[in-house]
Amino acid sequence: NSRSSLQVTQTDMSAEDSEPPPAPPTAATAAVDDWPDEISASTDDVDSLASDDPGGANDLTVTPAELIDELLTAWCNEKLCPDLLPQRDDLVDCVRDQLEGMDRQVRLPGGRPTKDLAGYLHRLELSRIRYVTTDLLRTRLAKIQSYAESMTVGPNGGRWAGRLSKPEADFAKTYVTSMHRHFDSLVLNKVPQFLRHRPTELEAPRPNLDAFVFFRVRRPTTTAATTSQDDNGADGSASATTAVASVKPAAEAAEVELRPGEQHLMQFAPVEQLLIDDKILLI
Amino acid sequence: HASYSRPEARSNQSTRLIADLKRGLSTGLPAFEEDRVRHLLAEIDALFQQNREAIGEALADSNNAALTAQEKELRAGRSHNSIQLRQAVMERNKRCLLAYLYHRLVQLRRMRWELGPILPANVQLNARDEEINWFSGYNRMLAHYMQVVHGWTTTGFDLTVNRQPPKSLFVEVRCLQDYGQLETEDGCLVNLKKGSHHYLLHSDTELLVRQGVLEHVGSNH
Repeated sequence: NSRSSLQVTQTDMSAEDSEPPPAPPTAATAAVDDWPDEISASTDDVDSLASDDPGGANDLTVTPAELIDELLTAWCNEKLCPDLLPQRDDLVDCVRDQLEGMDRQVRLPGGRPTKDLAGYLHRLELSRIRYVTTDLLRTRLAKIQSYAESMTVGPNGGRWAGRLSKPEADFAKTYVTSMHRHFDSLVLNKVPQFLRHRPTELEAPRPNLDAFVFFRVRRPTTTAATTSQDDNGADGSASATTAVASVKPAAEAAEVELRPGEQHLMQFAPVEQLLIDDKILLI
Repeated sequence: HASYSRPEARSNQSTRLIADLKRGLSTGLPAFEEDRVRHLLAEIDALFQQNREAIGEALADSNNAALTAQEKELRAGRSHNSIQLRQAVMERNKRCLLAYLYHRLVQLRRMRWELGPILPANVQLNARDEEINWFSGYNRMLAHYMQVVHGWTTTGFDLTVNRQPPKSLFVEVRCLQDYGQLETEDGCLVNLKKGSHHYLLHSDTELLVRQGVLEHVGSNH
């Protein structure tokens, strides 16, 4: 029985224990074990995912279990991250294809769902994965809507340039345009010329990159946390930060060494790149 | 100067517009305050005219040979201050008006996710035509994002359903109003009558629960 190839190593899953997924990881493991064998065979798309994987640990194939693991990580990171993370459409498409295949297998030829217990469990598991997938996209869309103005116009737009997928970028653009048209027709076209400009990008809502985040270290790395914090204080108006830095100049250059398994609470900006590089995991 | 009318008293109007909206948004969408919006726009116009006149006067003053240099300076200073003040009030009115519009749209956007693509009758009544138009535009861009672009065919990939983490596939629900026939995902026809109990697929019930047709029975939801 080739089912054993779908086994998830227990250490991987236990790393997810403290996350807030609705589907308990143990249930995910159990149901993943039950997945029909055919799925592991259709790994065309899975391969393309692996080649994009910055970790490069599993270059050849990704089992469905690893795929779900990856999805849960991406989902938790996105949920807990104050800013929009780079898009994971490769991952989402891959999961979606798997789900559609699985969905067909638990249905009768007429499209009706099967009514046996195994079918029930499969469908419950599918609905959990579907929830995570849609919630990942939904979370992203909510962030895009909140910060659409900053993301699409002004010099700050560059920060998000590669992070939105094509559909997301289209959505953001249409969304901002529709808002602008609304503002124009009800207010801006009715005020004197000198007031007609739209609010500048400084007034548009932006994600708070100084928000504190909890994270767990996955791979050894270092961060120059306090230095970045000082940068923020220097170009922003946060005089308090600068004051603290000047009291303790020694702390400024201190690099924080991050060892795997450690958990930290830090401001988001200094660790952002580590998150994108998959070296840490938001918790 | 006669034209010096207390702008600080007027600007209360614009902040009150926002404060009232904030209070109203907790329960739904309050009626569009047509009169107050028009009033604030008219105020911007009036202040703009006043500033224009003040600038004209200031120019005339500076060219007036009958005034001493000291008088000129005094008048110019006074008029400069009131021009600046009016300018600030205009900017503030504009900002408040835009904030007013923006937060109403955000509320409509929230309703799209909570209540589905059709606005309840009372919301339609309280919204302006432009807002209804914006809402249907929003519907379209959302549908475009979800269906056309992603090409998702399987039911259940609507981002606006599956909002709660699923605990079990089926849920027990009580019907709160006469809804009529519901065709479930597995092809059964269910007659939803007021007061009846059903054991249905979670995905079938979610939207109806949010619309207030069904309510969950039991403590797990």
